Amino acid sequence: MKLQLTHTPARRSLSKLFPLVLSCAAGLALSGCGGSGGSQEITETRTVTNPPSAAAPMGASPASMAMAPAQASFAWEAPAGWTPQPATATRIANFKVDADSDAECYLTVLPGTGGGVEANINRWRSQLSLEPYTPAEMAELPTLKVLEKDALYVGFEGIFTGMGGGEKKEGYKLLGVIFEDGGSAVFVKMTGPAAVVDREKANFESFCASLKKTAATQVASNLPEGHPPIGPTAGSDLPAGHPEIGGAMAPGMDPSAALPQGHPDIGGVVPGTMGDRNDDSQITQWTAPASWTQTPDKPMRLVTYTAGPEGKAECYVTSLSGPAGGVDANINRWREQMDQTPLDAAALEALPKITILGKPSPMIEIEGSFAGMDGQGGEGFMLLGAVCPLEGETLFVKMTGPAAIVKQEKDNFVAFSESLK
Amino acid sequence: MQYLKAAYRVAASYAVSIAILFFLLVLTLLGTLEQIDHGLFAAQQKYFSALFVVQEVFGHPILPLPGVYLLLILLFINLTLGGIMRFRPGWSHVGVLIAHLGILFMLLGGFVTFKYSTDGHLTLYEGERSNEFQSYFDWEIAITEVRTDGPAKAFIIPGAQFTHLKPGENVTFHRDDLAFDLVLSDYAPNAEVRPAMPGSDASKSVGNLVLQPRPLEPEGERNVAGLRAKAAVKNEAVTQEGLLWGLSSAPFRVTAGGQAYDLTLRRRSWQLPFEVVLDDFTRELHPGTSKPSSFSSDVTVIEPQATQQIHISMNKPLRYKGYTLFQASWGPQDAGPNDRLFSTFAVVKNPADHWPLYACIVITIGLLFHFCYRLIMHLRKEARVSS
Repeated sequence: MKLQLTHTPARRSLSKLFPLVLSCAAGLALSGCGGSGGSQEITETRTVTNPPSAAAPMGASPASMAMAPAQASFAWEAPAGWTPQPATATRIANFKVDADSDAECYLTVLPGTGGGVEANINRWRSQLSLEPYTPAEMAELPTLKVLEKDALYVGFEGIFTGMGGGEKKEGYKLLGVIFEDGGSAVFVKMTGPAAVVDREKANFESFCASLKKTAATQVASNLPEGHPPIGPTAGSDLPAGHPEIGGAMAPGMDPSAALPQGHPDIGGVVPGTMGDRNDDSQITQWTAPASWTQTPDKPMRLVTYTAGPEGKAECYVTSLSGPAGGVDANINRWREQMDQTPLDAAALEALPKITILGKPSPMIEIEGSFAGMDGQGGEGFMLLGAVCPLEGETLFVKMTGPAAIVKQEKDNFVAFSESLK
Repeated sequence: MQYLKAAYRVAASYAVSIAILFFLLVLTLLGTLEQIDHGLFAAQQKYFSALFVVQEVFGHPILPLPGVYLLLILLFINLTLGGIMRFRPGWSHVGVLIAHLGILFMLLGGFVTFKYSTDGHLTLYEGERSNEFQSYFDWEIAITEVRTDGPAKAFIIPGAQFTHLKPGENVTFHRDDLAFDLVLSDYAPNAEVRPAMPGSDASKSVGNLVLQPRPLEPEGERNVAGLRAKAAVKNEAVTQEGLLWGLSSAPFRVTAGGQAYDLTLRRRSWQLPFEVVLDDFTRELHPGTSKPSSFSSDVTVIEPQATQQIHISMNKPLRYKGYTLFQASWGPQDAGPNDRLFSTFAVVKNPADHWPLYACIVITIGLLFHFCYRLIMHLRKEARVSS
């Protein structure tokens, strides 16, 4: 093949056309530039058969939330006498606390840090025309249990200027709890005349205590065998400051041959916070003893087996992202479940080790009175446990049951633990 | 006239073909490297969907390149004009011509897919029904009348009309039967809402909230957009200002002309010509593991005239009325044995869905014809020589 570049007529043509080509290229480039200002007519309309009503907040359904990053849904019990108000852009729960004043209480959840706990507490103080807390004062703030977290609990009185710095109201009080939860900043705030807020303090605390997260939309990252990996996965891979992925998440998409050409990979995301099940666990295979019976999936567990006569002993594997509190703390948590005193550092160091995934992993054997997390247990129980810290996750293998059965299954437990890969 | 002839010669030349192919190779390489850090969607938008790319070299945007979109348009023109210029009647050229036509058809299919296809997802819990699917990436603003007495009208502003806004830019939307004009500004493709801190720029806050832009996520569908909205009520010196954000717990309500409207920023959605009900979702696990081996959905497709039960599974999508529903995902991931499950379907509407297949068939026919013709000619020649 002879290159046309060497062909004289084409080269002459090219040189003649160069200014024209350059102009066209410039025109195309400029035409791609967006502009500011200007007015456009809205041309697209739809008919909505279930239109929003006067008080309806925007709901979270799998369809609407499935593609969003983590945003858990909440439930609560409104105290008697509190009047629900329409939700707003950031107020998930919104109440008028007192019919005769402007006292109000609301719940806000913002993805990310929301600016930080301390910054927001000082922001609240500025709304009451108060000086910011010093670090020492901040460290001494009491806490209140909300959503199983120790939330900082503040209450102060001052001249309320509100969020927009408007009309000043003397003798106002603010009660608030604030904490970070699973990559979101959670605020519960009540403001109003001091007398009203003092009167409603117990209701405020009961409202905070009643907060629960509802079953949230989550995405399967467990793809069928042979699936190419898809998009975002564990929380440990998230960039710093990124909201945790859990609750409503982007569905994992299958980029298999069944997807149309050019279809983008769609990431599935998995919760990966400390304490959350790590579905990006490295563990995908194991060899269970023949006498064990696998049971249906249970929350937070990679796999569960029953063992012994009538399946009275149970053995399961859990993987949690990150250090999950640490090896020693978890071993002592198990001892607590068995109504035993915690071990000191020397005793923890002296625990026997088994090999899981090539790592020496402490194994503990505890007899006692078992109080499991789900309330099951009793006297004369035994717990076998092994903890294996890995890169980005911590593996727990635990067996509980009547002491006689668990003792018989000890060798099987060790073999099963060491078979994990 | 001489310019036209010159343009024709250049456009049909082999040199242009080689140059286009070279740039396609370079852009494919750059796009592949780009997606490592910025994700597939961002790489596609930057290199493959754009007319031009300004490539950064050591952090400085200095190298302008044609985008793949422009290159494929040029390739289409080049192949067409080249075929016309070099066409010679005769059986020896028929196979090559057919193959060329197949390639042109493939390129045309790509263009139709790019311009006219729509894709998104439909996620349903067992027992739920819907006739809408949503985009993974695109946004829209819906201005919906608040009514308690029957259907309402929703005015839709597609994202393409406001997602190009840079900081400081704004655009106004209006409509005769809408009681206010809507001014949109400060669009951020990924943002979070934060309380405005003391001392922060008050002009940037709305109701003591600010929209804090965040870096783009590599996975495009995890970006949550936000922007400022100002409703200027017609014939009144009244404006209502709010933030539209993809994760708002409630819409921005505007009241104008005695009617309330809910403004929401949400994923672009489209209606299906039928309704889908998820009757049952099933999944199977590999023995001894927690990894699913397969999952599938039983759905009912409902139309005014007919209802049909369909089974959708991996590699067995539902193709109906121009839409294809693929079994894509499911959840909740930690569902217990009796927990309610949801199923996610990838939904695609692509007029050129099978065009690549047809193009490949045409190319194959052309090449087979050409190879067979050449073989026959060669055998005849060999026969003549030996005789």
